[in-house]
Amino acid sequence: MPCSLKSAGVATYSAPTGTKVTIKLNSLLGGASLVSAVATPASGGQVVYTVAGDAFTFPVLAGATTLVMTFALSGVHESAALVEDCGGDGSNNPTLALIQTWNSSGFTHSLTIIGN
Amino acid sequence: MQEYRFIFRLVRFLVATGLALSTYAAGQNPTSTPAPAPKPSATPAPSAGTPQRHIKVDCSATLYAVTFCDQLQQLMNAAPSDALSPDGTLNSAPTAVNGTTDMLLQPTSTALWVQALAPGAAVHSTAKAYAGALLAWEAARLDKQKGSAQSSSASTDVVAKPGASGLLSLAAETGAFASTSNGSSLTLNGNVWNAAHLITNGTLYEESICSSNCVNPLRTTNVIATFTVDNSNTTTATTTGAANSGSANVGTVLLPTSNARLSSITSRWNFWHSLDPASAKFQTAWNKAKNDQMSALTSAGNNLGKAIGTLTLNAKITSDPVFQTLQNEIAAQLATDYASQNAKQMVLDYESFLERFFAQCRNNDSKDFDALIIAASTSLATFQQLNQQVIDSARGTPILTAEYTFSRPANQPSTHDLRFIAAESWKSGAQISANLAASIYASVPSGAVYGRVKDVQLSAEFDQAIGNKSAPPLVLSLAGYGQYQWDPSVLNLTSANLAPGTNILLPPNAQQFLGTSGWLGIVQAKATIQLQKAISIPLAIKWSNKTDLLNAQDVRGQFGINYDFSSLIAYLKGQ
Repeated sequence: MPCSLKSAGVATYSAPTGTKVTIKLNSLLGGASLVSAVATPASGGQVVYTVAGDAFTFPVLAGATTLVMTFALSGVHESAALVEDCGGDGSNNPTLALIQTWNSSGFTHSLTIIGN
Repeated sequence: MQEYRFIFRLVRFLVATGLALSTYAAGQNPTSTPAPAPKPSATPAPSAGTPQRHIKVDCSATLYAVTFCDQLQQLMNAAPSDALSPDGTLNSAPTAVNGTTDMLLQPTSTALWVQALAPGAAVHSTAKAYAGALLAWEAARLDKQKGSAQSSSASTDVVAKPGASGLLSLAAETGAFASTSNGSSLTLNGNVWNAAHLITNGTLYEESICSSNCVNPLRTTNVIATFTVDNSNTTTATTTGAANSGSANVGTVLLPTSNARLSSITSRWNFWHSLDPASAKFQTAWNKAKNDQMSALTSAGNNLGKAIGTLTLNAKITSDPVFQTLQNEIAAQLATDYASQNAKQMVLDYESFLERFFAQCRNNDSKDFDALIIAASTSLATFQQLNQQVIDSARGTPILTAEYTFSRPANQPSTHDLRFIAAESWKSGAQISANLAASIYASVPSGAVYGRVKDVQLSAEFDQAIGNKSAPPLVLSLAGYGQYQWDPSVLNLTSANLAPGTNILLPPNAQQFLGTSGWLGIVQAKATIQLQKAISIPLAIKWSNKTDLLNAQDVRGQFGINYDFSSLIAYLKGQ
């Protein structure tokens, strides 16, 4: 199954506007948990998404949108993988980012989503 | 501008020095970056046959790059096949060096850039960092000892609790514990290291999640001072004659004086289980604590996400092409520095990159940039502290608390008291605390017919939170206390002990036994009312088979009022 997001650069991803995308945290040792996600579109305004089970679904907005995700960390030293959930076979899910939970840099992670 | 830069560099130097010292105190190498723990199996391993590198990256002289020093260290020590592409350019794939290269090229992809820009702002946003969620959390703790040590005559606590205020608490108490007469006391309980850290860094916690081997021992040490504030006294003063001709000439008068005095000083140390975040038991507890506080975490996370999103938007980070140009430049420089294994140059190049990057951010939003940085750093500090509270909650109460008290009771010999405190809590909001203590006289006069050991004490208390477990409005307690005393209590006799109307001079340091030796038992029932999140009122009634000086049963009430400044500080700032 084709994925909806395409990497356009480092930490920048593009997809057709309106595409519904699910982002799911894959925390290998269970030491990180996705607790919130906020989108700030270039056009202004902010959208808070509901996170459940370390995952959330959002529609790709037109233009550039900054997506800030926040994580609770237990101190387990791992590189939590943020994956795009393409549905179907999990092996097709591409890695969007690796989040280092060694220190506080792992508390948040920002992605730029570009709707085209 | 140069003055600000100097101040920022000075703050950075002091913070770096302090961290190095605290790290050294914990037995680690103060000059090295903490080595990451073993990565999970999914983490790309260095190429086979590539020797493990150990190049030290020193960022201590930088203003901004010091915040990214862990990432620079990881890049510099990465395997060549991971750090560089086959053509010799920097490998900028999202997974390169476990995502570290991504983080360096996109400094705004994590909250590190807020931390890099925040040192000045953090001090000013100290109070704001304590959000409402933390207030409730602190107020709900059953394990905090806020009042005076047991040896104080006015203590409302028959059993000492293992925990203590993370910052400062103040308790005013009146009543009698094992003493014959009622007393009133004022107790200040403070964590010196946390107070200093809050003032200088704007947060009670380190930036990183820290296992037990890197916790500064001072952070688990509290100092408690108890002052008696009753027992008025008089002093004799010589007059200089009559004020007018109509009054008699009185040679001396008795002037009322306050007898407020330091009655005891206590130092207590908490001993915790080593934090093992990889253990199944800890993970289960962490998951529960996290789920219990998920709404607070989500709320704090949303605030943080909004603040960073606004900052990113206003600084035009996703739309200004200057940032892409800067990133292309630093990518080339990092590749060159890596290839030449020049750590010093890598730090200088990255510092220069961040200076230009942040200058462009400020240029794009010159009006609101500093205010947004303060807002974002405040939200980040709140979230970090909440995250740390979840971890502390998962760890449970200290396995053991040791406490030393030097007591100076009124009209009685001074004592040294050593107490061990243990506690266990349950999910139902119940907690049991137990104490084992011994008291010895600070000095024994020559010719005394009593020994150095005053008494030994055993006590236990059961606490049950009533109502909402995360913010109980009421805590009911039942406690028992037993004290075995080898000799009757010793009373220091002074002129104040003379019966009214007598004029018998006693020799200095005269002492008499009063009361009886043997067992002294106390049973206490107590209700602690949580008025506000930071203010509580303990009300207690106790029965004892005798008191320290009189051999007769005694029933008495005790009450007090406690303030916990760990929570109250936000109220003082109007939040």
